[in-house]
Amino acid sequence: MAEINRGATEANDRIYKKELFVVVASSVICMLVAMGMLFMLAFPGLLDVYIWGYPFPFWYQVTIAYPGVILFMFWIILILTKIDNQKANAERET
Amino acid sequence: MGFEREGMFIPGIVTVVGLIVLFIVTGYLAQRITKASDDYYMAGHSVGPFINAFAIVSSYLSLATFIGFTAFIWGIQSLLLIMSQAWMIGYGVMIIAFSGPIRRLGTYTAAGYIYERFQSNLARLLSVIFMIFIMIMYAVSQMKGIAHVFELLLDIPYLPALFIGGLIVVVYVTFGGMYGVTWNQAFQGFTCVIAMLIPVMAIIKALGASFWAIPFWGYGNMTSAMLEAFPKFFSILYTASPKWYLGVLFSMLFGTMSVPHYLSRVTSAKTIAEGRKGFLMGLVMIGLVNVLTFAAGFAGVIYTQTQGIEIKAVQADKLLFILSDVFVGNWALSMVLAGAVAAGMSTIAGALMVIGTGIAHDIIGGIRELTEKQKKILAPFTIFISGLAIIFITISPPTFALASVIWAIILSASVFTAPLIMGVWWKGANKYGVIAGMLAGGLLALFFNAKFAHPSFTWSPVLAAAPYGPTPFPGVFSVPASFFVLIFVSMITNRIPSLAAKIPREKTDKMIEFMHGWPDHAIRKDSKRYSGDAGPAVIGIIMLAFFLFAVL
Repeated sequence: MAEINRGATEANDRIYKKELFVVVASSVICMLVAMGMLFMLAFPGLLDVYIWGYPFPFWYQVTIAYPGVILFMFWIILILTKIDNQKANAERET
Repeated sequence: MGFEREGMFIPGIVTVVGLIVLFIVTGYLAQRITKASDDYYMAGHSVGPFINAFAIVSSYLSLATFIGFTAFIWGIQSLLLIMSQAWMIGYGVMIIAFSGPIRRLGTYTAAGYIYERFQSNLARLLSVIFMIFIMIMYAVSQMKGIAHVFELLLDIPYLPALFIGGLIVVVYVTFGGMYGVTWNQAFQGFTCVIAMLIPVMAIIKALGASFWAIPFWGYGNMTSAMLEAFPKFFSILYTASPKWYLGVLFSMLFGTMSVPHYLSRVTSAKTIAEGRKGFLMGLVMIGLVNVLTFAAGFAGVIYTQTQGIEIKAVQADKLLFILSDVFVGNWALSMVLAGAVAAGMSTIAGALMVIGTGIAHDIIGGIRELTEKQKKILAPFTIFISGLAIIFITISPPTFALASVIWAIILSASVFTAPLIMGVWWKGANKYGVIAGMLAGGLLALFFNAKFAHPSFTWSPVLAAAPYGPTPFPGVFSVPASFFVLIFVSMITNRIPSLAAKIPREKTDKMIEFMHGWPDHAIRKDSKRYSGDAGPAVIGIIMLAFFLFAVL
């Protein structure tokens, strides 16, 4: 049986855990952003906060839940691209 | 109804015919550089992010979306914005969660992925059947929209318009619409964005918006008029139940991740990094179209309310045409009609391609081996017959064109999203779990979709009394069910030796590591990556809790 290179296995597992964390956390954040209005239900006063003619929930949907979340995704895919490069250069485990 | 045109609309006919000729020329030019079937569908994996972004817009932006969002504002008012942005963000989660692995696997349909990942012919057959259901639902809305376009162009009633317009589109798709799919989709996506942006700017300006150059943010000065006509336009956000929001999350956001023809766009980029960037550019434009259609719907509500015009729900899908005609004139109406035809053709082409190849390749080809010659005859034949069937189904369409797109997306969310997410991230997901999960999610979605189409919504007095919101989204039941059934059935069958022995574990485990980009030398047979049961168990319990919350 081939000998296991424990150092390489541990290094690769760290990359895997980082990838898993980034994907799970960012996916959950995206879902929470999409459902932002659900969390605003506890604050009905926000409906009376008017900015440039629109109530606050409208602005949330057309800023945070649109360019805001896309910028966040852009940052995440830069991280994922780096992780992909790390995986492509992963050390031999056996 | 306050809007009547008499006689044929010649500028519109010229624009639409010119556009179809351009599609055919684009298809012909793309065909000349097409060498293999892979090139044919995916442009040889050689598309840059900009072109791919427009192809993505075209995949997303069906004719039902193009005209239907504007109409749907009548049903759910401000809630439309929650729904459409959840739709857009679903794409983003797909980019993050599994676009790279699917691209590495090299499959470009959900059925192809399911067969490769789970190594089961039964799972493939089930996924093809569900895929055909999804694409029929999708295409019905497009046909309804095409009929509305030809009603206006030729000044004829709905039924003859459906048959004339439907036949033109089906013949185009059967004999030429499939060539150079990616390039044509990019062109159609570009046409749709421009044909939406410029007329909406002109409509908003004509209505008196203070900042029409950015039409989606510039009509705040009109909200007081809107609130006089529709006092609950914004406050409906607070009267919708949490179950409605969860329904949107599971139906729309989870649905966009897995719709067959959306998923195929993952594969056409040069590299995974470029594919992801293309998707983000596509998202910017998809979000733009969402907020533009909302602005157009807002304008439509103000116009009809202030003019005292009563519009029948079934005619609300024509609202964008009406606004273009009333507030701008021939050029805007021609542009919107052209955009609608571009959106409809690209979506019908995509839907018929999935149905045709599903029947010819996966169902008939699964029963008996077909020669290349037989495949070449069978594929366009099944596409043509499917197209005709869709025309007949559309004789009695849903009230809003968008409705059957929503049903399709809910079914996709309920059948394919759990196998995609769990199959990519968990080695323990197996063929038994995926078959059980697809059946549970798919049958629940079909059942509730049928009820959704009916005002009583459901047979159960308990469910009927529950606050599912102005437009209930059955994904609130079916998507969590598909997740927890897939997870728990997989966990149980992995522990039954006689069943576990029938799973090609070594092959699928290595496949998952490969899908995530690990090089051969870093993949050990006993690798523990992607194999823990704790995470899936937590997801299963959370999904079960969501299901119980939705039912009780």
